[in-house]
Amino acid sequence: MFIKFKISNRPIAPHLLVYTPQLSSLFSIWHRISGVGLAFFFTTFLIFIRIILSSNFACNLLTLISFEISQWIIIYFNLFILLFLFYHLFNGTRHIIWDFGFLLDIKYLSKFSLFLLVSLSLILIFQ
Amino acid sequence: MITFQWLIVRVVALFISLTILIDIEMFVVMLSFLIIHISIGLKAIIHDYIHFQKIKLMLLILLRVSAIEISRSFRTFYIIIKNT
Repeated sequence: MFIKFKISNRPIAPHLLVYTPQLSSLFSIWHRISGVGLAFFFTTFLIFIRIILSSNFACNLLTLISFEISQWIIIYFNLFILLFLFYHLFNGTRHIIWDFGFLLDIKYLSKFSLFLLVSLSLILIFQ
Repeated sequence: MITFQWLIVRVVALFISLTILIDIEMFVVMLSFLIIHISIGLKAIIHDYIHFQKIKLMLLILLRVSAIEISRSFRTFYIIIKNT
């Protein structure tokens, strides 16, 4: 049942530059981009916490001051993290539904993706 | 055709999303699952988009080292939870 990761015949990855953009390929590539972005945000968050909690905080404060964090930057990053997180969550649940074999027909695709975008924008507005 | 890592990514993602819905302190318990999800996803991206064998091997080694380093810095979360 289980096959090694390298040997198995994997499906073709969604390349950006080769194909004309379709609905399914665009949602797939943004799933990957949002995943990489979330990993990047998560590691930077861990690094900032390690700087704040370190014993020589007074020396490290000089590096933190040089960022000059103002209010709009915090709101901007919050919105981006929320957008990436909920897009990844919704599209991941959609992938899991597809893996079970439901709603695989092409006629459901546009309605399903429209529903995803509307729910994402509703969450971003009424956060 | 089901590979082991294909199954692990889905199951772990279900666990993480359920714990986010329940409570944020449950999410701290699931951080080790999160690092499995991140490392498998980045490994799949490296396997798909990089076709030079030496660079791919070096990036996979660096990815594994960085996964261990990220999991080492998880103890700061436990310090925060303990003090609040």
